[in-house]
Amino acid sequence: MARQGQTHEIRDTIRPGGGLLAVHAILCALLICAPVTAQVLLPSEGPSTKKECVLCHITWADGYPGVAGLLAPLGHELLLNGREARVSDEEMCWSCHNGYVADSRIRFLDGTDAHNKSYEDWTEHGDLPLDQSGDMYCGTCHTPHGQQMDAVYSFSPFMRSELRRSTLCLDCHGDNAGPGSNHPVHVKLEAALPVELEDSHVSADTLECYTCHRLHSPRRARLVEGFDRAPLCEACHEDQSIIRRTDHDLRTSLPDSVGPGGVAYGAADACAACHLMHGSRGKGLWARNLPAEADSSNPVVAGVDLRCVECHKKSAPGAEKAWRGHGHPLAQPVAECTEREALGLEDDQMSCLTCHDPHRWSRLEDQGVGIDNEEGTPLSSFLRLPDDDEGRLCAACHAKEAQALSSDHNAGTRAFAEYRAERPGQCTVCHNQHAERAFADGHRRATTSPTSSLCLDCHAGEPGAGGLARIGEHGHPLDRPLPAECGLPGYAGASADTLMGCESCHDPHVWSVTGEQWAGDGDDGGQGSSFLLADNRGAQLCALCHEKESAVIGSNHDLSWTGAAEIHASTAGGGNPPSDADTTGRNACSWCHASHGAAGERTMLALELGDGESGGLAEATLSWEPGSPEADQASWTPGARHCLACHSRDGWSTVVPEAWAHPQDVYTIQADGGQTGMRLITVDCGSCHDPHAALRKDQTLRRAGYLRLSSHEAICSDCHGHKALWKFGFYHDKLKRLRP
Amino acid sequence: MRRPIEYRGTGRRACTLRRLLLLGLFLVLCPDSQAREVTILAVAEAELRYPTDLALDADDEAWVVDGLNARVVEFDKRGRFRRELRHPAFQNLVGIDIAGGAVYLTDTGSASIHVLSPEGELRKSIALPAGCDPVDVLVLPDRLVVSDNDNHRLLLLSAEGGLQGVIGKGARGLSDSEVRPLPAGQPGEAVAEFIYPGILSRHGSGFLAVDVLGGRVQAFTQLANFDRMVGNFGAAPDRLFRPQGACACWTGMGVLVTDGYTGLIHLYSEYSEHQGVLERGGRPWALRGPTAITGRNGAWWIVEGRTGRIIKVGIDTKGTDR
Repeated sequence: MARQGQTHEIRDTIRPGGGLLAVHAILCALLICAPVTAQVLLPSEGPSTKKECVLCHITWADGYPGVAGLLAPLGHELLLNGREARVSDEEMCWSCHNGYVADSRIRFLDGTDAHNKSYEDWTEHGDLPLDQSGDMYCGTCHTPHGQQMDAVYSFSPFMRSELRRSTLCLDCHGDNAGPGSNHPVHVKLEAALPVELEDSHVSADTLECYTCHRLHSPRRARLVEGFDRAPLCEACHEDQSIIRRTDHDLRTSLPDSVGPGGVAYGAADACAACHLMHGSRGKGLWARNLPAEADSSNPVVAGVDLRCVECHKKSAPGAEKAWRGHGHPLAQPVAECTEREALGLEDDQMSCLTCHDPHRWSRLEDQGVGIDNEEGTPLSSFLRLPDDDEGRLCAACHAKEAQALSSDHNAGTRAFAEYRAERPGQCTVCHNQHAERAFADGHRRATTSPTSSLCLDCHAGEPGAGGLARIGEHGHPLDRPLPAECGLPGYAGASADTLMGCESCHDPHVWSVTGEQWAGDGDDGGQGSSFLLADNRGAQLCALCHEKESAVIGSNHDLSWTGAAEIHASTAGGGNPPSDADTTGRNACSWCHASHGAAGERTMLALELGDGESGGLAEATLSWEPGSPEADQASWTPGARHCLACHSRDGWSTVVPEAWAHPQDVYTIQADGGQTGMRLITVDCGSCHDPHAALRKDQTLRRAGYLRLSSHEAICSDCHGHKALWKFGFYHDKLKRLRP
Repeated sequence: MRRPIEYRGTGRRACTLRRLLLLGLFLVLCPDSQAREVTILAVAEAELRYPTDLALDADDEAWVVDGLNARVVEFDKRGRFRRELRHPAFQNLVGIDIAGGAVYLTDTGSASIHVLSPEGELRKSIALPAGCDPVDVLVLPDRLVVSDNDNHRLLLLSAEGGLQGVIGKGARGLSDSEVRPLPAGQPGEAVAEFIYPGILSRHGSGFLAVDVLGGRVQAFTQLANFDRMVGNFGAAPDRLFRPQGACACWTGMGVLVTDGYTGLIHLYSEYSEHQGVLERGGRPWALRGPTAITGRNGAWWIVEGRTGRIIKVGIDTKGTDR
């Protein structure tokens, strides 16, 4: 090849096609000489070197008279017989490719299979030659001196540069292969091309320009008729073809609207509404605009796929399903997810496309789910996996939460029938992935805790109703600040405090942290299960927050070790225990306190208390004659009644005050757990006794009688001064009271 | 057993002597470069897409191969569209001949020869050996001649399609024994060798074969023996640069040759003398990509491939016969 600035002259030494004079000279010589064969006249060893050149480069032919139509020199200073090299025009190509050497006629048909010749801007054509009009011609891409064919009729018929890597195309159409806005090229084909594209002469295993474009009619991509590109797209992207007739097939859902290319959706193909092969607007060959920044109709947060939001916002085609910036957190790591292939996880960040496949309405099409623009369900709605009985979609990432399937929080259990009729999914019974609050709407009990609201939606009410574990009217208070040291979860209140909610004690997805298995309907669980966050069989969970009260564990007031069964047996009928209580599996706290279904609002007392007047309790504990002024003035607070349930003659305790009662309407001051400071209380058992303030029995130093203070510091002296001891004896010891 | 008929262009003395005699006459009789004036009698157009070949029937009506439209179009004497023939068997028609009340078509798509009735009924298709590339067919009284373009040879077939012989490099012409499967042919520049043979045409009792890249036309006798060479390659005015079509001229043995690149139509005498090119208005008449040419009864039909036109011309022949 001649280099720029160099001049080469090739002097022909073989002139078999010379002028008539030469022929005559040869013939004369032949007449003189012995007869020769025709082979001598016309060598049969193949075409001469010069003729091969002259077959196209007619300017080099002897006797060339000058024929219009030849192209201007290209600057290659290659001389032959003193004549400059010129390339030939399209007519030269035609003279062979008209069917009588090769049949390329179809390539010459304008508007059918011929490459477009004229472009407004030919500045980007590299070193490719144009014809005298500045248009393309055959020689722009082809030259016998270019790429060698692997075999006759092989893939690269005399191309100027390599076609397998689209090099020739990109010399002019480089802008149509830039990353981000064009269909990628040079990508390895994961499978053989479909039959529909087998005629694309692809011997390489990568996707190139010619995979989609016919080189001689590049504006007519293969398999494309009119505006319908779908057959071409679907040849490789068969999985996406199922978009047909779904809501995302805008031909059916918005047939009269005009798409990005100015073509009505109804007249375009299913792909055209969202995708553009060249000149697209980013990832996924996006054809539509992308919101530049957030506004009131366009919430943009990290991780959200703007392509989805562009339609699913106010005043957009998908406004009915507008995304309002709430719901499942985005841009979260998804490294722990299984089913990565099904979820199409390309990276480790959560996005809209993690759960949704915009091309597939439902994975359950073969199970009879319709796709004709019907309202979606947790089984359809373009979900990559259905939220079916196994909760496959959510379980793919939330394996821990999927443990709920093995508990009575499985939405397939009888208790969920009412709710599931409205929301047929497994997880979507409770969760709403696109709502501001990540739970299903509706709650029946006032609480500011989102979680508690959801829990109470089902569990509020009296026990036993509707087959659900109802928690009754009274129980552990909610919405109070959790001690910072307890480490239990809660929810953020208005202040900086973490407030208590149901989630502070329960994980609704994990039935048991102890390994206990749910036994099925009717298994309400115990201290080792019941969705408790910690093993509470030893009151460990309670102790996390109630450290002071946990001193009762192991004391005489810890009925779990003092022999709960015997105690229960001994108090049956007389001690007034909870009538429906499960006496097994109780811990130190739960004998006296009920987190749910407590007998009263205060102190979550577990026992059903009598009224103190008609029950045996009063008779058992009072020395005053019923109806006497002393009896009338006796204090019958719930706390007192709770203590006397055991500490009575018919109770199980051997410690029975023989006399008791303090006049009503006499108050003293008691600390109130630090919440409100001090409070006035009616004088009762708790005025002097703290049932939790016991030392463990194995400790030698014990404070007698669970007194809050030593006797000399007892609050009695606050009011009674030096008479306090006498009064104590008077009220607690009948003999002393009767002593003159 | 019949003696094989040998190809006579391989150095046999008789052929050589005849060629020398002809060339001697060429030296004695200076070539007459007198041009022939053309009169356009009719132009036929029927949305043809790069037609290739044509043939005249017994009524002098022209049948044109419109291969890209997978049809054959019939024009009457005045160039008016009469009808078209289509058939599902047509894939890529290129050549045509009409003889014995039948239409013969070469189909490079199916590598076969279709034989049709004038009404368009497909009588039979003759499948050619694998790898053949038939671009034209000529019906002789006792055989078919087919241009096997890619293999640079002519095939000699019986009327039923049996292979009787081959003309081309390394071939022997007609053979009286069974012809084995054909290897791929090779190009050659000797007589009776070809570089992409194309259109075939009757020439007396023999036939003409256009040697497209050989830049010449070769004449053969009825027995497929090489007769003479018409023209040779070159870019000078009296040379053939890209011969496409050929037919016998008014003298019966003279030849008209179209040049697909220059667009000119060369006239050769019966002694293969170049006698100039056809003119119109006193200037050489250049067409756009002419291919086939055929004539009868003082009129010639030319296929102008690039424009899709079929042009019927008359040629002033006064004083041209020798």
